[in-house]
Amino acid sequence: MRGFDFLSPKSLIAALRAIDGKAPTCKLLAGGTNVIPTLRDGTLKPRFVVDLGGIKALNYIREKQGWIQIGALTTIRDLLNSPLIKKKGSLLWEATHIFAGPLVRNRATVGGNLADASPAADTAVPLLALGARVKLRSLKGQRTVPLNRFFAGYQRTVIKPGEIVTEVTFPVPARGRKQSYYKLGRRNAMAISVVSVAVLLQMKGKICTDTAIALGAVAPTPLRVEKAEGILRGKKVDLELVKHCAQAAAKSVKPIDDIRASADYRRTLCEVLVHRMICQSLGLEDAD
Amino acid sequence: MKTLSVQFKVNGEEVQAEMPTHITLLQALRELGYTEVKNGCEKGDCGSCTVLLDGLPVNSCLVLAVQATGREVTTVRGIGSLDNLHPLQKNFIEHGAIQCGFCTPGMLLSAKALLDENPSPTRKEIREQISGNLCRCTGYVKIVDAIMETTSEGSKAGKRRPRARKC
Ligand SMILES: Cc1cc2nc3c(=O)[nH]c(=O)nc-3n(C[C@H](O)[C@H](O)[C@H](O)COP(=O)(O)OP(=O)(O)OC[C@H]3O[C@@H](n4cnc5c(N)ncnc54)[C@H](O)[C@@H]3O)c2cc1C
Ligand code: FES
Ligand code: FES
Repeated sequence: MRGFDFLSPKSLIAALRAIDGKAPTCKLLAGGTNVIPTLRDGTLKPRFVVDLGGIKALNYIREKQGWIQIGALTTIRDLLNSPLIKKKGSLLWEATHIFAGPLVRNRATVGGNLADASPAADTAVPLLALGARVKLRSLKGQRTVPLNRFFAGYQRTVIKPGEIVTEVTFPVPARGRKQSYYKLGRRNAMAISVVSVAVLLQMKGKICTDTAIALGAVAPTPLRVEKAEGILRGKKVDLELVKHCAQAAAKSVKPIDDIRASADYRRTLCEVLVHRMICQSLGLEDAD
Repeated sequence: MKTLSVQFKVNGEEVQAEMPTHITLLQALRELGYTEVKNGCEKGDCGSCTVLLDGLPVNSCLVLAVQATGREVTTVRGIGSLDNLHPLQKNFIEHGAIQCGFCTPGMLLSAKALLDENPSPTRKEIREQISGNLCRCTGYVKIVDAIMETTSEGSKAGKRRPRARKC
């Protein structure tokens, strides 16, 4: 590892100034759980490392005008301990339970999880289903990007040089929305997902008035399966329809073979898990 | 090599040193003589490098030494000593929760952080808390027994001897 200048700005504006014009040689550090191993093994050789950890103003969880706002520097531990997230973003809250282990959760941030853009990112999948948006700041101003347009490819995002993720925000789900997150890993703790599924359902009697289904680790980025959602939306939901929806979800994914699982297995899992989670949410008899 | 003057506390003692910006807190601590902090994987997987940073357990291999500036680090030496063992240390010995001992410093610190927050956790909460600390020897049962014994419930149960287990 070659040496680098280490900067630890205490405010967002100081951080934006620190990275201005230094893009290719500069690396942002939040919780460091992804960055530090790559600095150590030399995969990454920046000239400047800018530590965002000192910007206390970017660590918050609050509700404002119907939106839950989460500062980028909020740790996974903070989310897990938040009564607000537990109550109004239970989908996200469930994901924080199975995120790495407590040691990593004490450091890892939500901004770092999204910016890292792993297809298996555990906050990204529920946040996609919740219709989250990402706020980005640069010296030129601020912009907001829907999370489903934030990921640009395998470990790539639309973050431009000079920009910092400051917040992720999602609308408070309507009352009575059923939320569930399921992560299948190779073991219970400290596992990267083989497949993860987030399902949100709004029902009026037997009619599905709205739904969101997001999947992780089955494509270059975490993704929403809109075709599958369309099959349920506005319809009376029965086992036959759930089956169609689950099949459509499995058709929309582009999984890969890796050390954790084969592509075929992942595709099959998508169908099985989407089917099971919808049935469980709605109390439908799952014959399989 | 870029260096920075770094100053932090380890087990209550002030440490000040000129350090390369790129070294991890794990490397720095070991070089400063705190070799009770173990190096297993250097990528966050094993937990043998666990320290408390301002009271919270973290992987010291995932923190840069320069990030510890102004903060308090606790290693296992900070929670008890040979002639004044922490109750957790005593119970680890009594329950046979230590075999090779490589995971033990990290395990003890994760356990201490849990009991500081929640003096009467369930077995499930204990297992969850130590899920980032791998042990290749004990099979975890005796570790969980030892931590259970140290909880407020366990100490209430008083002199209860550890259950004898067949291998
Ligand atoms: C042992 C272990 C287990 C893990 N398990 C899981 C798991 O179960 N689920 C999971 O999803 N992940 C897991 N991870 C991956 C990692 O912990 C998470 O992705 C974490 O959320 C990254 O956040 P961080 O704050 O540590 O990011 P960092 O490592 O600090 O940064 C990650 C990337 O994001 C950029 N970045 C950070 N913050 C910002 C910002 N505000 N604006 C713009 N760019 C930014 C950095 O430059 C870098 O490219 C694991 C990692 C380890 C080491
Ligand atoms: S050495 Fe830090 S987790 Fe293994
Ligand atoms: S006692 Fe050997 S690794 Fe735990």
